[in-house]
Amino acid sequence: VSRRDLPDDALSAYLDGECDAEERTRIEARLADDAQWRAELDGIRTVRDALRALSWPEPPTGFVAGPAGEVGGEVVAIDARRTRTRRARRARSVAAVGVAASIAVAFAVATPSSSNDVAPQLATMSDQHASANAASADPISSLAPVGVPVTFSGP
Amino acid sequence: VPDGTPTWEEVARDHGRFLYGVAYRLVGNDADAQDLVQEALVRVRRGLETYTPGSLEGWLARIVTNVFLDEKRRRRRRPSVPVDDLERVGGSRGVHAPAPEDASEELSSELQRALAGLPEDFRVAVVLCDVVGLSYDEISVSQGIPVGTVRSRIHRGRRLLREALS
Repeated sequence: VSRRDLPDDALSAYLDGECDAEERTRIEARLADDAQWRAELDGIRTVRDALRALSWPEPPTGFVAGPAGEVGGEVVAIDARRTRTRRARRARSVAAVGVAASIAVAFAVATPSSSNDVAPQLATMSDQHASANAASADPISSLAPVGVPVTFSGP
Repeated sequence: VPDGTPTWEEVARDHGRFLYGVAYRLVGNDADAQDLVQEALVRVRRGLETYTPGSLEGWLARIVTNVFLDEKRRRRRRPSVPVDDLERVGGSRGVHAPAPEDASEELSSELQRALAGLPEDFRVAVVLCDVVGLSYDEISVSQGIPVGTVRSRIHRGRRLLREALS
């Protein structure tokens, strides 16, 4: 097998340490005498390094994961922050009555690993749920909040 | 539920930030990332019943990428806005990223925009490799595709990113 048979994607595998020893040897031999391949490797390396250097995207302060509830035995997402479709509104309304296990979890964004006392933003959720449903004259809105607060014990 | 399996609440509390980060890199804006996390957590809750303790973040990354791909397929079947238009603006509700204040933030924003423009199969492979840090084998298992396909998608994705940034 000639060195020229190496596919271009071998370069990414080479950078990522995903080649076996035999392929690595062939790649390095080709890189030694193929300037175009070296340029390709440099370009891929630049992109890869930039991706890996990106900071981790942080959720906005107060982001609430969940709550989730069960409707007719089916777990559904309940988004108390936004109202988007009639179906979603209906699901929330049903779930507000029939939730078997709804949980609101607020992220402690600043110190996610050290904060054990989570304070779900029930007031905000309640207001938003009520306002989201008021326009449609949904009687369930008076039953807000949807979520049930949970106090976590430390790990 | 086997020993070592976290509860749904523990996943949301301890790995919500991880889920959000992966989701954000996949969709490129805050609102869609939040939606993705919510749906992923619903699947987490269902999936914990059959979860085998192992690489939890690998498992979570698989769930959030599957939610992302399912949503893309659903939009293609019933597009209310052409998918290409969604890609151009970085999501159905626009790009949330704040205005860049320095060179590093500007590069980050450009890279995120370029990432959002990748075909989703390439995007998922690149995000799982370069953002989440999974190995090719782990991505192969996670996505149910051969390692050779993983390798090809990662490389082609990176090459497209380089072209978009040059």
